[in-house]
Amino acid sequence: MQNNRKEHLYKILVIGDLGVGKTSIIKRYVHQTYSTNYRATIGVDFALKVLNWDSETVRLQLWDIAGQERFGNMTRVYYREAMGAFIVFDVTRPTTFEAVSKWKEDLDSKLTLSNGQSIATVLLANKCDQKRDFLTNNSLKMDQYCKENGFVGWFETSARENININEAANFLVKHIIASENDILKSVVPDTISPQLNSDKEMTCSYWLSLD
Amino acid sequence: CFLMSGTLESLSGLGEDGSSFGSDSEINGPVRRTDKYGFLGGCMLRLCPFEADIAVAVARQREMKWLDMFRNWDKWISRRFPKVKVRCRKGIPSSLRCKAWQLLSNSQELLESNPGKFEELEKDQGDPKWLDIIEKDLHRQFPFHEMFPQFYTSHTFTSPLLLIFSFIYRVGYQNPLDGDIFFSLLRRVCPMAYRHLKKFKIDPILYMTEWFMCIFSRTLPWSCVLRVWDMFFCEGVKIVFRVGLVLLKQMLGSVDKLREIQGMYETMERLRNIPPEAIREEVLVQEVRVITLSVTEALIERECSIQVRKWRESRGELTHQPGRRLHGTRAIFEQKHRAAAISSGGSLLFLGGHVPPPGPLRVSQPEYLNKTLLWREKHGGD
Repeated sequence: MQNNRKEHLYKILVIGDLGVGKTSIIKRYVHQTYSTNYRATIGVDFALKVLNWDSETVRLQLWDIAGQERFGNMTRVYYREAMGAFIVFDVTRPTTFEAVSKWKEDLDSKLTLSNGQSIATVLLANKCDQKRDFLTNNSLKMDQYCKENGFVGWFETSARENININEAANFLVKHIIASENDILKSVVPDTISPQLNSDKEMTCSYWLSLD
Repeated sequence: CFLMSGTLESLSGLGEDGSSFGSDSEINGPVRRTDKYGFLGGCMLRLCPFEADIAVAVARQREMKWLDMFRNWDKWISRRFPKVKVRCRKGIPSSLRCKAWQLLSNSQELLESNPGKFEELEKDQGDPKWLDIIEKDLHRQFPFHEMFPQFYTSHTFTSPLLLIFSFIYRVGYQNPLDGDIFFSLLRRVCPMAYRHLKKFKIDPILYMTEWFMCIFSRTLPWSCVLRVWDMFFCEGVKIVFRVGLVLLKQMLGSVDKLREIQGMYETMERLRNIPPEAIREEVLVQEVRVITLSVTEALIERECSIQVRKWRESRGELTHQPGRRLHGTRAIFEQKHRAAAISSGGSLLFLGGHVPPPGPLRVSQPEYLNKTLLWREKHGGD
């Protein structure tokens, strides 16, 4: 067994309101490209990213879900078996931030891990290369917001300028692996308590640090 | 009419005005260049490599036949509808397509029976709720069409394309049960594809949302889209089911094809990006004709009632009643005559009437759609 490289396949959701840049983030992350042409996603799109993770292989199946609210009743099918999620908003449009909690509630109400926990979810404040005039200027407030709403962390990102996208993805994967271990360990009584760690190099702040 | 192929405008528009339409390389650089359907670029610029080539004499003959039908439209629909259907399946001549679609969808009559209505709607600011929905719809359709930037920047309700795009979306309104109906039909038509999709837990909504919502305008090469829409306008929503089934049959219908796509992701990739060279216009239409024998209108209706029953048993009452859908031109025609018999002011039923439920080619439509139809009546001639 040691000879084989261990493989993980994780389904990751990318959700958020219309036009916040979900598809662009995925394109940047997977294909290293960016286009100014906008074409709304209908239903759901897919992309695959393969990562070398220590001595293991991690395959991320990214589900790019259309931002239209009217698809609300279909999201259950899209969410099925996901292990992690990005909820994206556009820093130049406050209404897209207001929708974040709606997306989070929708997600949590329709999907939980086998231990009853909600899946690891990272908040992305996208288009940070453009002028922004609210909230994300105040990172303490954002930290607070994440804590209150059950996000494992948040990042300012830009698909156009390729800012923080890899970092956010790595961060999410780390949390997914940790929650997977949690589930495995839950069979045996847990004796290890999570350490608190503040990694200054990360541009985001988070509190459930995992080593 | 912009929806027709080979308009002079789009051909002569070639490189004419170094337009200010962005500088993205995806749309062919600074020179404005369109294909013969008026697309500037993007994924819509996918010419079907197997576009049917019709001899001039045949094309001319077909035009004459269609012009003859135009002159006695009601008679053709009431007495010789099977022939109309056959002609739609052969493909409406591109020069007459606009007019034909207006007649098939009954929009012509809408205009004539409601004088002044269009002007009235044109002056209307529009309900913000609809404006919002239209805004969302805009980018789903044809952002790379030559007429898109011009109407999008003007951003007014009088923009014909804006309305037409919305119409296209609205027509494709999806019944929440369509996925179940579709999957059940697939089981009969192509068990191999059915088993494959089931094995990898690929729910119909993962691939058919786009197909049904845009009636394949984002899926097929444009020449095929026109052929599908010719049939759709004439025969109604069952065409959408049939085309979808044919596509699954073609993509997942043999052991060889399935060998390459063992997995949920691989299968979805194939269905979301059907290679244009895999679709031959004539073969597609022919397959749709063949599948008609097994997927009849009655079968779709029966499947629909089975799924409604199942839904009620497992999930309670439906929030959207699927109701009876109008199956194309003939059904619209009959309904129209019934309505006219019931009330002398029957034609007004077609405007702003609140007759639930929504469904393809339904009788009641939101106001802005009526405007769409009326606009096309007024300006959209050949």
